[in-house]
Amino acid sequence: MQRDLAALTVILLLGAFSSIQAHGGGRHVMGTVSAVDASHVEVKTNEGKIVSARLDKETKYFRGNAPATLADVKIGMRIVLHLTVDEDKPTVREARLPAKK
Amino acid sequence: MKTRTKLTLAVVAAIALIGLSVLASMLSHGLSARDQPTAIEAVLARSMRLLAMPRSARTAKNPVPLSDEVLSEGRAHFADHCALCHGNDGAGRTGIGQNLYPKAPDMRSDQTQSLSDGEIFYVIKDGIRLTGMPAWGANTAQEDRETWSLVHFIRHLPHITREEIEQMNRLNPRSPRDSAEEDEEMRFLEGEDVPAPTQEHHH
Repeated sequence: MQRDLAALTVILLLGAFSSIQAHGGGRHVMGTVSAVDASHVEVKTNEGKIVSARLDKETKYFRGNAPATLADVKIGMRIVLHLTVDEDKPTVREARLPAKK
Repeated sequence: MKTRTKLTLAVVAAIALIGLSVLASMLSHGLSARDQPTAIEAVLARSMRLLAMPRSARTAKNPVPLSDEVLSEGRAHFADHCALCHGNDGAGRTGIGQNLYPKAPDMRSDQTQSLSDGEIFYVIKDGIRLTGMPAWGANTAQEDRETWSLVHFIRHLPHITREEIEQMNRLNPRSPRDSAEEDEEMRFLEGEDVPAPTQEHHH
């Protein structure tokens, strides 16, 4: 019984830890836009993980090196996000999209 | 008891009370650099900074005439030396700037912009004790000139353009890892399959 409880505790702790890792967000995320609206963007990484981040008036957008806007961000596009991680939910400091061809 | 003695005792008691409050706060909250300084700390620190600054330094005028070249020098200098904490736009929203105690200030705000040129020069040249702001530059005419150019650039920060920030991005110090990361991003955006383990980085 005690062994079962110990195993359960370890599993719960590992679960909590992996959840924190999954939701912690990085400073630099690459993937494909899976959702976007005026206040947030969701990116699906190649590993299949969904990263959600806040967009605000300080967020800067680029297509290649050219300035862009939120309207340029479309579902299915490749995107690179640079995030700040000092708040509860990461905020996009810079969103980079492929250059126009 | 004489009035003077009473006054001295009152001052000592007030200082002791403040000291005890600070100590109690430290013991209960710890000394994390993540906290925001209290209003009292901020007022005391600013007052001390002002008092410690020689009057001649506060009233000093910028001897370097403003020109496009000077602004460009200041911009390059800021990107190379200051942006790591203050950010290219001076907002202080950087990993280091936001986790210092006190936080790197928003240099576009009135709190910075209302300082005199001499005060800004003094802060850059001599730094501020017990903060993340170091003293920059040697005591030479050339270094002083560069610092005055920086003062011009700091005055320009509230009006900085996106193009200028882009230009500064290319001048920011980069580690080999940063360069590799930038290259990886570019290849990814051009359609290459970048290896999965490097899709996300934690700094």
